[in-house]
This record gives sequence, structure tokens and C-alpha cells, in this order.
Amino acid sequence: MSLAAQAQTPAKPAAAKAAAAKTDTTRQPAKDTTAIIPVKDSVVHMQGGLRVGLDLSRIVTSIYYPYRKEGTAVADVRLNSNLYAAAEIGYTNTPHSDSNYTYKGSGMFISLGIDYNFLKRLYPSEKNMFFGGIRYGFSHLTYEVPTYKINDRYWGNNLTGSIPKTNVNAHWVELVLGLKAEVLKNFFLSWSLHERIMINNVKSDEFTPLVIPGFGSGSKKAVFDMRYTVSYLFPLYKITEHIKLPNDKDKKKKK
Amino acid sequence: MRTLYQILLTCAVLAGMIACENETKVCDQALRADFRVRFQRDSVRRINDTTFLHNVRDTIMPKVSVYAINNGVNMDSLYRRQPQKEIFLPFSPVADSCIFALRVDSTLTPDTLRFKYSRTKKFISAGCGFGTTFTLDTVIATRHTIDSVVINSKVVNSSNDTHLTLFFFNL
Repeated sequence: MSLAAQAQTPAKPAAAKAAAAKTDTTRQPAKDTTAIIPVKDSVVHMQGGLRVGLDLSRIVTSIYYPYRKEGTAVADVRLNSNLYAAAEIGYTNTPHSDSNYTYKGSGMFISLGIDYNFLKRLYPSEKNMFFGGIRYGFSHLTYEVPTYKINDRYWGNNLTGSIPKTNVNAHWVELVLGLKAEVLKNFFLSWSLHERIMINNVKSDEFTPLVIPGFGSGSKKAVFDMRYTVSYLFPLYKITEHIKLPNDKDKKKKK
Repeated sequence: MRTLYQILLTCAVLAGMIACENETKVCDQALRADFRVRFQRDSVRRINDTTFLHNVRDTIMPKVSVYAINNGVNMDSLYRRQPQKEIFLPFSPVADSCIFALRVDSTLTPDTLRFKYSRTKKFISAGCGFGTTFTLDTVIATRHTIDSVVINSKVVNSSNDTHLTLFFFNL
């Protein structure tokens, strides 16, 4: 179009043409000397490290359940782009006293497992997670009933007694579904739902522990729980991932 | 991400509200397992010299009075001249036997029922505390109005089952 337009314009003076030829170098054809090598894949370095945190929901739990004094620390380590090794460790103290009986219980627990991030990252360094996981939980607890009383209104007798200190081990499997959001750099808030299924039997006719550390109610075979966790990621290493780029053939096929 | 987070947050709050049940505050189970006794009577009808038609059926006794006897002392009445077809007797949680007096009509001589049993302490729930279950061993009854006794169930851990049936004479 521009050439045609130039052709139609009236001829300029020869002196002006010569001056223009001397100064205008941009219109000359550029020589491309670079060679384009097709890239088949790309390397992405993602932040890996140890993430440790505390479960804040146990504070709420201790308000609703005065007999459950619990503390839980959580940690995970990134194994590859989507897989994490996860662990939880905690302590529970269970003091209870009412007109029928007094109870003292305490114990520790640990759960180990993996989390898998299902969230498709928008950018390689994104750390937000929508994850599912599975854990094996183990708890060791000691409990005793220093005094109990059985009232009988008709006979007017009160039977009293005690149950000595008893040690119990509990094992369970735990399924987890949750979200982790990076709200500040390397600082995370997390919600997660937990379904725990007891493997062994800790119930007895004589007595059942009120609370199993890390599991929940001692009278149930399966419990549902949630956690609200704050955690910090200590960036310790990088995880390298090769991302395959679509090659020319794929591009053509898509077109 | 935000939508997912909101969904999970809602689920967690709901789950938390449902899960917030203080087990030590709720007692939704029966603390006492009473011994359940059913009354029956055989109304025999004579067909001929050799044939009798037996018809055993539940019966309502018109004026039932029941009380326990503890060390020879009559205790408070559990039933006082009430029409009953069954009675519930509380076994003593501190003794391995107990005696009850049963009068099914105010004009009749009362019978005594002596129960021997073993006791087992049982944790009922975190809210209820402890209770006692019983296993019946022996029943000894006088036969002023009672014809016979049948033990239906020896284990007394709830009052839902009939543990004993008393058959009365036709008076």
C-alpha cells in the first residue's frame, strides 16, 4: 500500500532524494544471524524445604471440651513437585471430675504419612495446595480412675471404687483433605478435614479411655475432626522438575 | 482456589459445630438395669375327664404391692396396690442377693422372692459414669400365690428384656 502511495505522489526534487538516501538506514533489510534451536523441555526449580506449624483448633477444642488439653505440631517435607511427607506429633492431658467419677489421662501421639497436592499450579513457584493425604497414627496413653461412685436411690447404698493406672496403645488410619494457602512469603494458613478409623480395640467392659491422644473420643471406632494450622516453610533446597513443552508437531496438530 | 477454600471453610465450620458435643455432659443411656418380671396365669379349662385345655397368657394383677426386705426390715414400696402385668425390681449394687415381697392382691398372703446373683461393674459412658450389671444365679420363691417360676434371661444389663416369668395359681 505504501509503495503504491509513493508512486502516486508527485516526484520530489533530486537533491532531497539524495539526502534521504544518505540518512535513512532503517529500511534496509536486516540480516538474521541467529539460529533457532527447538526446545523440547524446560527445567523449573521449585522451592522445597521443611514446613512446621501449630494446630490452632486445639485452643477451640479445649474451650468446648474442658477435659481435653491438647497440643499438636505439624510438619511436612516436599519430596517432589506434588508429593509431601507429612507428620503430626502431639500431647494430650485429660483431667475430668464430676459427681460420678474422676479421671486422669495423658499420652502422646505421632502420625506419619503423605500428602498429595491436586492443585494445578498457575506459575511454577506457587505454593498453595489443595491436598489429600493418608496417615498412620500411633498413640500411647496412660489413664486411671482414682474414684468412682455408683449411686442407688432405692437401696440407699453408694458403691465406690477405683481403676488403677492402665497403659494402652492405639493405632489408626487417617484420611486427610485440606487446603494450604501462602498468605505471606513462606507463611501458610491451612484448613484440613480428618477422618480417623481405629484399627485396634481399646474398649473394655471395665473402662474405656475418654480421649485417645491424636485420635479423639475413646468410645468411637471412627471420628471426624478438623484442623486449623499456621505454619512456616523453611526453604532448604530446590526441587527440579522438567516440564515438557509442546513441540512443533503438536502445535500444528492443535492448529 | 478461593472458591475451594470457602467450601472447605464452610464444611469445617459445620463439621465443627456438629462435632462440638461434650461427651462428659450428656448421659443418654439408662444408668440402672432393673430386673423385669412378667405375670402369667394358666386358665385351665376341663374338656372332659381326661382332657384339659391349657391357656397360658399374660395377666394383670389387680392390686400389686412390692417392697424389698433388707436385713429383716421392710423398705419403701416400689409398687403400692397398683394394677400391674409386670414389675421392675432393682437389685442391690452392694450385695450379692436381695429379697422382695410381692403381694398381688390386698387380700392374699404375700410371697417372697429371693434372688442370688453376681455383680459386674460397667462403664456406661463418659456422661453417665459407672453402673452395675447382674448375672442371675438362683431364684427362690414361696408358693402362696406363685405356682411356678421361669428364668427367661440370666443376664441383667438392660430392662428391655423379660428376665423372669411368674406363673400364678388360679385363685
